[in-house]
Amino acid sequence: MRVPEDFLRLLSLHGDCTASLLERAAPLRPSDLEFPTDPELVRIRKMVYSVVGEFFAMCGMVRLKALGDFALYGYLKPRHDVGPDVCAFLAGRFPGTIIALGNSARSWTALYKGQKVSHATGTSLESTIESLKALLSCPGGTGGEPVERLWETYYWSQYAKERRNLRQFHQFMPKKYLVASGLKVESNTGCASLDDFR
Amino acid sequence: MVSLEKMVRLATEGRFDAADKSPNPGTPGDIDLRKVRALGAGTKYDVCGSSASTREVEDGAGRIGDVLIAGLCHAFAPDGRCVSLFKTLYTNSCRHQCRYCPNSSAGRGGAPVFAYTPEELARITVNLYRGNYIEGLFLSSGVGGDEDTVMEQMLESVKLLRTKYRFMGYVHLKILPGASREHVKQALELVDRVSINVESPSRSRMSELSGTKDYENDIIQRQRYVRDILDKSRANAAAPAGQTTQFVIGAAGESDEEIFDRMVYEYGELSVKRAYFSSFSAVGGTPLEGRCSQPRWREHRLYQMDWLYREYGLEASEIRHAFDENGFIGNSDPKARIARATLSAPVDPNIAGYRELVRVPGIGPRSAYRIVNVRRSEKLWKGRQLAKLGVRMRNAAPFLRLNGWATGTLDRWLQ
Repeated sequence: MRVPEDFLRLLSLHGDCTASLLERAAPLRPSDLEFPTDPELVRIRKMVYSVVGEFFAMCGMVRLKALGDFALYGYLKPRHDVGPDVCAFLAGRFPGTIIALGNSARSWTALYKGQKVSHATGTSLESTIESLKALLSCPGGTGGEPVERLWETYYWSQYAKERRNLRQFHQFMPKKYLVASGLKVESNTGCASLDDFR
Repeated sequence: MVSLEKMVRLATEGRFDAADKSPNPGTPGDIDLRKVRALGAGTKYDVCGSSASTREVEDGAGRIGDVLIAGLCHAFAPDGRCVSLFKTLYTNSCRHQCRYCPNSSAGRGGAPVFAYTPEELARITVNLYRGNYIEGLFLSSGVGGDEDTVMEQMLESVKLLRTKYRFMGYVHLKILPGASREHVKQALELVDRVSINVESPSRSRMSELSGTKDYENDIIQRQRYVRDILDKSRANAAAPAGQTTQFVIGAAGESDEEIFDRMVYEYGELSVKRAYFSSFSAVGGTPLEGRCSQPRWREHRLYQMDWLYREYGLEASEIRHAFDENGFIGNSDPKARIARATLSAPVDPNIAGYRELVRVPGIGPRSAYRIVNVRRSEKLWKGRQLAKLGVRMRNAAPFLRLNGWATGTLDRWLQ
């Protein structure tokens, strides 16, 4: 992976980024981080990659539910401040549809229309959903559960038991990402639990 | 930043304009989940490692999806494989008698036969895509009673997706063995990638697997159709991700060298973008249920060879050094075997060219590129320096000369 041109912005999104670290990173160019030997540069590069990794994973792992015809919402609790970026990415996939992501503390909303992305932030996802319901005159969410059941059925149909490889599964779907995107179906790896022997 | 009120106003202002809004697919509540399970499981052994396409997606409200980001994975199954596309059969009814296949007429036994309707398939795909569960559709099928009828239904499903639902996400379509040239042409206009599974490396091996498929006419000739149509079409106008193929490894007792030879032919003569390998798994109820399943490492070693050929730029004649006298690779790193046979002296990373560097085990294209760049400003004289550039020193050391010294001359011959 090459260090992105906007690495400073990405660094600023990192959960542990401080103003002084940003200041020290400001004069750097992406090529300085390409093959670093200095421990601080190595740390900066790791932080940038961590943000990029979380953004990329969340773009794929956040699950959306429909709220009427004009909005989709989903749970997202990232470790870094990638919420607005993930929201904007998903908005680009569904032009004219409002995308609301968030958790009990923060929420991000985005809409892509006319080749422009509009952003909004809010407190909890619940309150954002309530506001959207009121504004869209939409009494409740639709389509969430049947789609989840459909996905669960399909997901397990793809599992080849004889190729079981939990090490690889956890490498690609680490717990931090499962927690951040609130995935349920995929968190069940098919292992026997104590409940199975009751 | 805008207020939620303004955002809602923006989203709903074109709500009565039909051109500005894709139709709501409704909920999939009435879809038979047994069908989803059976037709999904029918593609369990189909490999699709990519959802990248260079197709241009027209902007505008109302469309669903895009293909802008490559390699996005939405989930992984507990077997470690990416589940990013809605990979399904259109129908599991098939008149072919492939002896390894649970969908064939020879292997299905009394299992129920299912088929989607184009509308059902399109609705499921759009619902899963809107929920951000998938990156697109991978549509395969049994041939049913005849391949033309099923191929028409499959094309109808994709047309519905593209026109009625304005779905712009990734679509991969399997061309059925024996499909007509006209159907192949239509498919290429609609989808991002097509594939036809060769399954085995030669006509004689295919005859061991299936008594009903004509290797040359049903499969290779269809691959030629795809190649010819893509050659004549404008860039990106037809299936921009090209065609791929897949081998079942070990079902007909074929050697790795036979598979490799066919793979080289597919890349060179048929413009196949990628070959995929799936180790044979004995499935209960099929005529080959008693045969030993193939180990997964065999698949892995074939992918390594494929990588050496496509990404590292090794010649087919060099790669042949990896095979033993029976044409098998064995469970050891093929690159190390090739290096032992072809590198006559240890390689000095300070003077070796890129082509020489990528032939050293433990050095890939990226680390070779880094070495060539870094050595302009500093001399490489320690293994630790190379390790920082991404070189796997454990593998590379026996083949390198560092600071005038060749290390581990004995290690070079031991694995």
